[in-house]
Amino acid sequence: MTLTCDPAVKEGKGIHLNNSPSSQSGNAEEQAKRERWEEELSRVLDELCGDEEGLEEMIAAFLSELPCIRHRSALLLAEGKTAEAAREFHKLKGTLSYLAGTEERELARRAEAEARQGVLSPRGETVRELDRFLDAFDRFLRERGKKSAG
Amino acid sequence: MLPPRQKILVAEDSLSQRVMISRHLRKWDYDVLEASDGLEALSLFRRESPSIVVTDLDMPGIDGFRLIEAIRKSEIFRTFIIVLSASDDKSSVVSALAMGADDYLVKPYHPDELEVRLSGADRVLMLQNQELLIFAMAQMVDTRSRETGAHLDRVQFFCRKLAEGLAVMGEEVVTPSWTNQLFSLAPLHDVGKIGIPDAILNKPGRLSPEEFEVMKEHVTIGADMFARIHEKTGYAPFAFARDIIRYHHEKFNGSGYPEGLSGESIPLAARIVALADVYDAISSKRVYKPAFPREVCWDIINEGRGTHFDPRMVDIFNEEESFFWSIVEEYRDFDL
Repeated sequence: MTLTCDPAVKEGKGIHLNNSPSSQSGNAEEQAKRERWEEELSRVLDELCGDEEGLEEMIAAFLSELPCIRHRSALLLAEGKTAEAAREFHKLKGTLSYLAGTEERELARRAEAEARQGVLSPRGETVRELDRFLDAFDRFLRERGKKSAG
Repeated sequence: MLPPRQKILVAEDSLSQRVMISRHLRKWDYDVLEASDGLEALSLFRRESPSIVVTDLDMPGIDGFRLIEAIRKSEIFRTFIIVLSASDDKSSVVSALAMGADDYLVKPYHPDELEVRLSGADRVLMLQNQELLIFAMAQMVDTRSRETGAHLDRVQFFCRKLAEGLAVMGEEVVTPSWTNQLFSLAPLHDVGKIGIPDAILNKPGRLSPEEFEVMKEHVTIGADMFARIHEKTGYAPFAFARDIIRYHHEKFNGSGYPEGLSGESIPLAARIVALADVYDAISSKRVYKPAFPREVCWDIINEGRGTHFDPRMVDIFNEEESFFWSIVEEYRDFDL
């Protein structure tokens, strides 16, 4: 099954797995994570041989596909279609393995594995943790983009 | 003018990953085609014939496994397929390779690793294209001598069947790679005919004894050519080809040419090609003779047991005669 993703979702206005309040930027834990993510992006930039434009294109592509992945996985989980939701987490795992770090990849892998086993609850800890991370990472990338543009 | 760049198809449903993979590939000067799902990839593959495919496994439409399967079914020349997947479980790796993938990389890949794997792909494709060139070269000679169109294909199949029979008999030299080498190089057996004058090469009737002496030179002309290439390159398959070319007219009882070798002193590959070549000559139509009936072909081969041919080859032929005849019928030439 292929779920379509409407423009509102692409802009990040779709439903998320949880509607938990986002953690505030400036928080020390998030700040430490941001520094680590920045290092990861530097690594990607190195691997692209300093191709800034390539990195920006990649981030823009990620930001455009992330809301759809989140929307689809939330919908599928809510409908109890865990095997199909697992595919979305698998895709997320693949993408995060480039842009984020091992910790985030592990989180997506856990969500995928639990979904495949049919034990991933839409309101469980794994989903909440993943949602918190994705909110923060999305914010980090968008703010970074604004800074670069400025 | 720059040489044409290698075409490579990237099948990946994640846009950001596709962007990154394509950026890397373009940096290494590949001509990149992008597909966001398996169906689009298959359609691009059929239209553009890329020589390398880099594919994800988990994709909408048709997944990477089905894509590999479909490519292997529809391709004319072998495409090098690299799987690039976030799945690191052994069963995915084994399934993908069993279905026909050539290589498997787990995400996240490091660009250096992908680049090295692509170099491997380029080497394999180069070898494959060398084989095609060898076949084209042999065909060129055959065209000049007005040998029948599918002669080389038939000889290849006969040789492979004989080699497989020898392997079953326990002949240790005959490994799968030896058989593949024989299959690739057997078409070169008459390459020396390039040096034989047209008047002799295409004479409709019997050759006079003098003309036959000239014709016999084709084995040394071809073998010398490949001996020189082997000396220059040191590449073992060229020595293998040289032996096939030089000795495929030797006879098991020592009455053949050019050296009058007998028995097992004749290289094994040449003994195989000897029977394959003769069987093809008698079972198909030539400018100087009609195609002989199946029973006559059987008799001629069996009359040569231990005299012209290695007895083991004749025994395998007898075992597999129906296969040999099916090749004759399937690849029969109609217009001469």
